[in-house]
Amino acid sequence: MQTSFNSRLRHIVIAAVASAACLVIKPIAGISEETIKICAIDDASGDFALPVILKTDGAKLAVAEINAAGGVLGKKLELIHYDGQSDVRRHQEFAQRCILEDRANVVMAGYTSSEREAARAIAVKNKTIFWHNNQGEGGIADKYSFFTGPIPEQQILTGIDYMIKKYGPKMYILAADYGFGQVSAQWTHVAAGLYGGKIVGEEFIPLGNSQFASTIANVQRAKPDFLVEYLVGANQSQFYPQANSAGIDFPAVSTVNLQQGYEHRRFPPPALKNLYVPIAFIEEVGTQTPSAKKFVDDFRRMFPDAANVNQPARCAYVAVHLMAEAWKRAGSTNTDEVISALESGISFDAPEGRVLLDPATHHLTMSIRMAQVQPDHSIKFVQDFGPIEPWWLRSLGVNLVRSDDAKQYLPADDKRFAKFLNK
Amino acid sequence: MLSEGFSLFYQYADSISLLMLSAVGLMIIFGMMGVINMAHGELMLVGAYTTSVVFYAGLPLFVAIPAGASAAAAFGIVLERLIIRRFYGQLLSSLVVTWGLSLLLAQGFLIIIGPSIRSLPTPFGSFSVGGFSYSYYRVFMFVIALAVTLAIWALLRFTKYGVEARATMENPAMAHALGVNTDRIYMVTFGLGAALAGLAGSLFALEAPIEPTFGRNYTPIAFITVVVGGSSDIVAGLIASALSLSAVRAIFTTQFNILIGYVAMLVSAFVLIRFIPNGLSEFLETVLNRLRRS
Repeated sequence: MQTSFNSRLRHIVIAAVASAACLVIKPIAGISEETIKICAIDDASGDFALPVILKTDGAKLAVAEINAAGGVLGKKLELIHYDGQSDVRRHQEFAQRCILEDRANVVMAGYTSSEREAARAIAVKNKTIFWHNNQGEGGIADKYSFFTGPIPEQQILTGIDYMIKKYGPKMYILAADYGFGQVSAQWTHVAAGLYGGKIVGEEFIPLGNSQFASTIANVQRAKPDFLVEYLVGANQSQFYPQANSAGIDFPAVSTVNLQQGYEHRRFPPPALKNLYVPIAFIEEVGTQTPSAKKFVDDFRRMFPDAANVNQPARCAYVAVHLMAEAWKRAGSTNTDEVISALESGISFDAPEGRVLLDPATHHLTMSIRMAQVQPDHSIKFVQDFGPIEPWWLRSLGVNLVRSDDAKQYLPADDKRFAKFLNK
Repeated sequence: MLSEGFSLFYQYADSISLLMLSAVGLMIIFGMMGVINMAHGELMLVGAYTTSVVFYAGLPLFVAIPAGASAAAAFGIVLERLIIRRFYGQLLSSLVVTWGLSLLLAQGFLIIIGPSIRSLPTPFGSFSVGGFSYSYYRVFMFVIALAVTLAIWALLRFTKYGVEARATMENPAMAHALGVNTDRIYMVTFGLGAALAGLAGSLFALEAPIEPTFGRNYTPIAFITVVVGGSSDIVAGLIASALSLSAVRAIFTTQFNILIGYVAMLVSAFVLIRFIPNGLSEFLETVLNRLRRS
């Protein structure tokens, strides 16, 4: 009796583990037979669930708004969501399922650069329109790939220039040791070269590392004017409370924090005091523009339990609206015609201001503001940089309207930057 | 020179307290009961969540931290009574079951409580030694790690529970025949291990964001510490393992970088397990016995 119970229980537990391991949230019920399908692969579990759950909500809000206004081309939009589980392999598998089984019209996937590349490769191979709705390291020039998040020329160059002018030239870089962190560090070298900065230390932190005693000592030895932080994920963000409790008091600039994990709302003050982030959107932008206030209010009305309204939510929201506009302009869902429409210079009133989808590079011209964290963790917008164009790829001669490059450019591909990168 | 030396010592002590605190609960459960508890990280999570809730309910930290340990103990005992006790003596089954529990608990926390709860402020502030500043809280954690290890040694050495627990660990059938309530010993031991996991979770939560995957961050290093230490003497194993792994990690981290420090620690663990498969504690015992004989 006891053994049979044990073995039954074991089966139940194994089944439960198996089902937890492939947890999939099934499609939100379609309204009519004929829908236009948006497939979103967003992490609802694992390390990145915290910022990414809000990203899915952003897409849901846009879909609800568009359907309430009658849909697109006489059809309703349907959002199919898969839980990417913060796992690169799941992103690959679900991208395949979105395209081959669900026949999705567009795939929106990836939080980290590695998740993005896993899903994007599948979408591009199958000639399906792909959106990455988060900030990124930029440089991707591809016919099928589109981006709503800010990129280095919008965040890093502006941010480093600002910090050098305000605090002095010496900077210490802390970067997550993977694609995004490494490319961001290269861009920081470029920014230092362009604006007269000096890099006095550089450390690459393994993803998942949460112990910073040695880093804190190294930073104090180098005595920079400010820190440059590309720390990713919950483990790495332990740097802030640890540095604060060790009495580290350097101003810092980051392109990662506030806008995704809303650390200023979660960490007790003053752990993030004097952290600067050049952002497109955080919930506090709601105090700056009427359209941001409306977005925040609508979002909170639809998701009253949401912990925050973050930049990935804004990115997904903008991407769905831009797609709706493109389908309308194209008058069809044919991929080539929709890409032509996306490349026809479409714009949208995003929460932070008007954005324009740049036909040549598939990135957005968007408004950037410098957010400074106060000692009580409230946010002060210390500068409005206005709309910044995604100019770098264009300056390399990329024009996706004319030809498909199908590659990612790195700062090293730019001859003008060579002298900054060898330092 | 002196300030650089203190910096290295501080990093060494910091690593020791991290390894000891994160491993001690796991060590007791594995060493005494032979159960590989993959849900160790989630017990830490229970401690961290409870500490945050109690602290923000207005109680001071010296109440909130023991509350975290107690909640983890209670939670551990419930798990033990309902599930774990059915898998004693089945090493692999207990591994799969606790792993399943770990997945279910972490996702359960995410669904029920949400992706994060408020982090806690770090107490005590900082102090300086020759141009470097340090956190008092890290020193406090080191002291707690040593105190906990000492307390466990005393508990196993001097109390009735300690004698019965060691007897149960050596030979459960014989202990049972001599009138030891082994079932109760197992329950209490699992509760103790869970309490120590919860204590570690509560202490770490004062310097970390608390998310459903919080505990998983510490589970790998806890396992490495336990395996390198071995289970023939819990306290000796824990101390020897934490001291040696931390030495490797601190030296390689300061000489090179965090990644190389971590890799060096893993390589040294690999080498130790290859040549001393039963762990440092058994190795030390053998060496001591040989010395005594000669």
